[in-house]
Amino acid sequence: MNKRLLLALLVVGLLSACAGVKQKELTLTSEALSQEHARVGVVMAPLPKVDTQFPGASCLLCIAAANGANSSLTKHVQALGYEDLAQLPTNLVAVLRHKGVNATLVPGSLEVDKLGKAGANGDNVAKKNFSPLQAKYGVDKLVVIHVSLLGVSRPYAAYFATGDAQAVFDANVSLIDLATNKYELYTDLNLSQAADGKWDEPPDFPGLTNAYFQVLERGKQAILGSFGP
Amino acid sequence: MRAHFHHRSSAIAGAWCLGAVLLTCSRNSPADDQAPAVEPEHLAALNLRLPRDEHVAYSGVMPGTGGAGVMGAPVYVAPNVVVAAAEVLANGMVIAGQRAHQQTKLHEAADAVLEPYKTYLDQFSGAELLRKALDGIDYDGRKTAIAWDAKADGGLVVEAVPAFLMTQDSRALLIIDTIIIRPANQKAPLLYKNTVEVVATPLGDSVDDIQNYWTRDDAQRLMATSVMLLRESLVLALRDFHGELPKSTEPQRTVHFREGELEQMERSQVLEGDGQRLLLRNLRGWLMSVPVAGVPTPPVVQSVKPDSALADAPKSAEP
Repeated sequence: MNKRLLLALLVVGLLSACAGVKQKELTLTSEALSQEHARVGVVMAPLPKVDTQFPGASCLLCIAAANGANSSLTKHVQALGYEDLAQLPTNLVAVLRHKGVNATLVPGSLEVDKLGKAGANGDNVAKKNFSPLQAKYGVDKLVVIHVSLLGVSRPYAAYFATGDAQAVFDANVSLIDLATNKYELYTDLNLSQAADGKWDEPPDFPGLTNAYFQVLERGKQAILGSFGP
Repeated sequence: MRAHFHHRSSAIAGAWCLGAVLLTCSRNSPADDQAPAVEPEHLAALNLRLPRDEHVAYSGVMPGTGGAGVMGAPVYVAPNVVVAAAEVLANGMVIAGQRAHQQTKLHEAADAVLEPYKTYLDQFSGAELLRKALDGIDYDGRKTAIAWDAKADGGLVVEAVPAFLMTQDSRALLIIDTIIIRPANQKAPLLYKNTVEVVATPLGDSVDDIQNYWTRDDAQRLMATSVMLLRESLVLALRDFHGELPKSTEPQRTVHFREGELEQMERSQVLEGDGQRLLLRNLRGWLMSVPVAGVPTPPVVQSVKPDSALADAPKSAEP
């Protein structure tokens, strides 16, 4: 019995160590974008599929039950578009230029996961190695917009929905000094928006659709607002 | 025959009504596209049915975000399938109870904003509000308020179920009004059913004692603003019913507007706008008359005479 307990503790310990330390929130300092000749690139990670998720439905049967119970919702949500979300980097470049920053749009998208590991550790040092992008993009600093979750979320406890479906928008905005590979801004956004009134209105789900576009708008505003008013 | 609906006191609504020439006699009912056609005799009279219940529903605007629900996945440990099923069902009942309790708490918290006005609001009569609202509507035919159980003498019967809300900053009232229009013959099918939301322009920054603003003169401003919102909702529903509203071909977009001091958004089509206010049709087909976001609020009218409260409602709260 004691051996089993020790083994369990060992596994938990190893898993905890693997989880790593999360980058803390960093607000933009006045110096970060004040360097006159610093060229700042703006890029966005590939957008996630607009979809539903059911956190809390964790067992296989629970997942199947949640998917089955919400199939018409999922079909509707998957058909919702990004609207002008893809224009966000362009809009951010305009905002930064308005603030006097030498900002430029990096064409295409950036798959952060495909970057190599950073060679060094330390406070606010990025885990991925962004430094090669300095030469590739011809910029000194890089703004990375990463929208990680977009769609509708409905909380579950095993087989049961425990709350109403809500529109969700999760994203991260960071500014990396490519010379040092250090973050100068790091902000996580976890936005949700409930439907006004009923949400369960198949097949068009007007209340939830409205909430989706509201949270999308709030997300875009929050990202543009990360660099000051 | 020509019908004509607008506020006597609202320049905005009046302007929107200008050029609105009736009558197509075609139906515009988001709730039922197959609704029967309007007959000319329907337009001879407008009967506004008064409510059976005198109580007027006022509540606080609920915050629009959040509500994470009851989180956490339970672990079911049971010796057999029957016990496991019972555990699952019991857990479902507990969760439903928790959610209902959570909603009640949220509503109670939102309604707290009305506490300073409760004494006055409890005295408001639904019939009085509707009569005053009807008084302000221009109509070319006969115009009557009828009791909840009375039979109309021809024409159209309009039934309204208004719910009034106050924003959490107390700077604006809004109405969500479910409106039904039917022929006088009660057995005939409905001609129109829709919900109309009208958000009053919020009080400007010059109003620093908001509670005093609303409660002065026995809360005449609360009454006048409620009547104005009710009247505007009726006028918009009638215009919609008569096909007077523009048929927008614009795609739906996320429109920003003001609700008190907060900026809100609604996915909708813009039907009309004059720089100060917008008329929207949202995804549910509801009509929404809202103040444009970012427009400076007009100056406050400092006094309201009880006699003229309806005709000259305070401009700061004009819808």
